Amino acid sequence: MKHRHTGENNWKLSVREIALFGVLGGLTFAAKLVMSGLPNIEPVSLMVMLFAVTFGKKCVYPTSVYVAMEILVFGINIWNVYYLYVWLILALAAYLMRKNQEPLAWAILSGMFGLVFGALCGITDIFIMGFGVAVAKWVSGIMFDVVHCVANFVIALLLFKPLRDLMQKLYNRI
Amino acid sequence: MNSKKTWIALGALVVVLAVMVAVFVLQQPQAQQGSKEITITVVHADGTEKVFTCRTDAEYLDEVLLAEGIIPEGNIVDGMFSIVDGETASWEADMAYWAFFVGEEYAVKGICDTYVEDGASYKLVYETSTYWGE
Repeated sequence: MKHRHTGENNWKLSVREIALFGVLGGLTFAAKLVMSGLPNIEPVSLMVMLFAVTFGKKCVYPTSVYVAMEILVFGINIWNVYYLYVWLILALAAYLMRKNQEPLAWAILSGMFGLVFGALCGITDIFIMGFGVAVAKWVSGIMFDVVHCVANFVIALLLFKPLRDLMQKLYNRI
Repeated sequence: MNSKKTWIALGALVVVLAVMVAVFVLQQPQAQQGSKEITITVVHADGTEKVFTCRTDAEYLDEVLLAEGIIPEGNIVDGMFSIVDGETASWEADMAYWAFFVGEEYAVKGICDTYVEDGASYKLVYETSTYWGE
């Protein structure tokens, strides 16, 4: 589907995009809070993938708004560092496979991201806590990664395609 | 229709998932045996001995005796007990009791106040009193 905001090589934002990305970042944060009672079942992975396929490089903006809100609300901690790159890694992966239309492929990407989430965070832990502690921390959290994987897989399988079409349609209107 | 690549990716996801679960399961701490090894000898009324060797983390001996089933649950009341290894010592009927030894020494404390020490041996001996009265 073609849209007016090619955005591929353009980092400049229109006023409408500034408003849109701010709202989407805030909505992502709000959706995560709503689901925060469910351990490692979250809407952020889905949203980041949607941002990447819809906004191209500009997905960095709503993603950054979301991360900034997390840090502003929950404060400074080690996970701030994780969040500076984990979501961008997912966004990059989604951007690279943006032409893919298969819901199963997106479910696999989202599931794989959930599965390696702990390992990605472990990269920072190696520098802060040392290799042994980082590995122990990763291993102890594997079951959370498994839940993250299954939840991400199901959410993306069910919602990615309809929301992608909807977001693309809405983005074309502004 | 999903492409062949997608199915391969799904297979890879399942494999990674299985490997991670396996890593998690293998890294789980095994059920730990207790850190203290003790020996409890029960000498029955007919003179037969039964030796229990057990590992425990329990602090006091009554916990071990209950955990090992040497004294049945509910039989210890205020530190006193009458049933050991299935045999009842009845003071009322036979003026019988269970004498408690730490090593070969007659214990100065009851089983509920005896701290479990690694390598220690304890003995419960069925005894009858021949003396009763003034």
